[in-house]
Amino acid sequence: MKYKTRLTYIILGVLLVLSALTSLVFGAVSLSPSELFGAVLQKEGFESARIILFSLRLPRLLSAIVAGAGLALSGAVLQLIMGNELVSPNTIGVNAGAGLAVIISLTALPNLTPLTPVWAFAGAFITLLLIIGFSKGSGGSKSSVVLAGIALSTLFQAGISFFSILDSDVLGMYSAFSVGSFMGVTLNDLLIPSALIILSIAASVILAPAMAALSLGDRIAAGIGVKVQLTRILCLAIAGLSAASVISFAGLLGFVGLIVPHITRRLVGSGTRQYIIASPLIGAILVILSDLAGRCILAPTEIPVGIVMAFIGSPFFLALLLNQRR
Amino acid sequence: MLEFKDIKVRLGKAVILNGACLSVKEGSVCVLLGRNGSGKSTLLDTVAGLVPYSGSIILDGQPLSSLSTGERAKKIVYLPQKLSDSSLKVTDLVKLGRFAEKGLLSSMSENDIEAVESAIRTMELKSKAHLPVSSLSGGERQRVYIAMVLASGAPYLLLDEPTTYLDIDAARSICSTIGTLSKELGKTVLTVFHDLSSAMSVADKICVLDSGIIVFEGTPDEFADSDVPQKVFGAVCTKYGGRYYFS
Repeated sequence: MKYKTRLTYIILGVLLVLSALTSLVFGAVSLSPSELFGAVLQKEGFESARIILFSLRLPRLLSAIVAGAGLALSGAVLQLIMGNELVSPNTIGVNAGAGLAVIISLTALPNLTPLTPVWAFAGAFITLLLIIGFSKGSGGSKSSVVLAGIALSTLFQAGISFFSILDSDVLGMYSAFSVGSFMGVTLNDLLIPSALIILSIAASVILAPAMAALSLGDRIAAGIGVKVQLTRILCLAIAGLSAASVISFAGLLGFVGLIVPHITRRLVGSGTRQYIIASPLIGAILVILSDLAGRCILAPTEIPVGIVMAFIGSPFFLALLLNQRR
Repeated sequence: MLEFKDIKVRLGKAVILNGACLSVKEGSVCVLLGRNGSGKSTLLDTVAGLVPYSGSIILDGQPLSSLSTGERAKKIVYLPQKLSDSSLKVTDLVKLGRFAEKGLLSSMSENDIEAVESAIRTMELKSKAHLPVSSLSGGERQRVYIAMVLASGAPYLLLDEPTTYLDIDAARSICSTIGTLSKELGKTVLTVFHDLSSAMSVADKICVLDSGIIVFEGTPDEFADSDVPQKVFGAVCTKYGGRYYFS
């Protein structure tokens, strides 16, 4: 591994640990270092600190890490294999698919709201299968995948609007899901998504050279021996599963999948494996800090992380584009 | 030897190739000529499995269809006409040429590294090795992609219009590179050209495609002496100073 690459990973690792510690300490109630150590070492007299740390902050922190890593990986893989820097999990329709499944479940099965994560995952996963099916049927070209995603998104958004009109209570509940938040997420909620995302990262690292070849275009990739259609379907599955896993517990958290790959490219350069490994790290750091800001800015009122991401992400992204042009 | 036997390709109702037959001898440069839409690129596409076809392609006595994608790419690699303006560094892009040899799970071996470095040296890209491909000129970019296919180690190279979009100097340099690939490195090259004079300067054999079939196969001299330039391209050939010129 090159010195510069190693240094980049070390810096990102240190930043991740620092942002994680900051996220554990600060919030509506800040913990002093002695409270933090008292809670960790299970000392007497630190019960409330322990509850804050282990019941509230730790699930939030892990949610932010898993969500940031999953969405960033999804965006990074999609932008690479589509050769399009404007593609994100949203573009292939998984967000809208999850949203439609959730609003249908809220309308038809209002007594089963605890199962919302399952509906969200199912909606995103079915959309992914539709996209993969369409991709296979149309020869796996990247433009057909993006266009199919846009068409499905539009269709699902129309469905979401339709169900919103039917019942205003449902609309209220759906809004909380559509903004994206980690409120009420437990460690159990994170088990399956974390496992899927770790598997997706590992598979992406292995597939990195094939993804790099796909980024050059289907014909060049085929010319040097890449199975274009199979690789694209595998990558779509990785990107879709990562995003669906996050949506299942965090709702429709936007922007991470779009902006993190851009930040990563600027920080780690063009090496595909470095890009695949660094994107989840940067995504995790960004979401941890956004969640922290959401908890601190108007404390004790909490701003959902999705809103903070949009407030921070949009100007940052515009500045990045202007800077790139210069 | 690379042989195309009775290759037929239909795209919808259109017949693109209508029984094309062609053979390319080992270590030679075969240039495929033809007007736009005559089926030149499609013929190369068949090798990479990019279009469905009937007929057979025989590579060193073995049907191409019996080889897996990886096995095929170890023997024959294809560089299409339209090349991506990649943000990858030159070395990283050339390394992709080793995809079929290396696979997904193994890291670069010494052999792989040597093949990449050798391809970069041959294409005179050493000073550009750490630059992004997108920062290079058209001719340099073309050389990077040729280095990529060269790094593959495959004995057969298919190059679709490698001089398109290049100025005269860059095009001449690519022609000389193609000569080097064949004469010094023993590669068999099947390439498509639009410019007749450039084609004559690199070819051991000229093949002309018209309406999906091969209408001429022969040496550059035989091509110049035939009525094919006039009939197919409406061009008159003149030989001056050992070079062929078409007007």
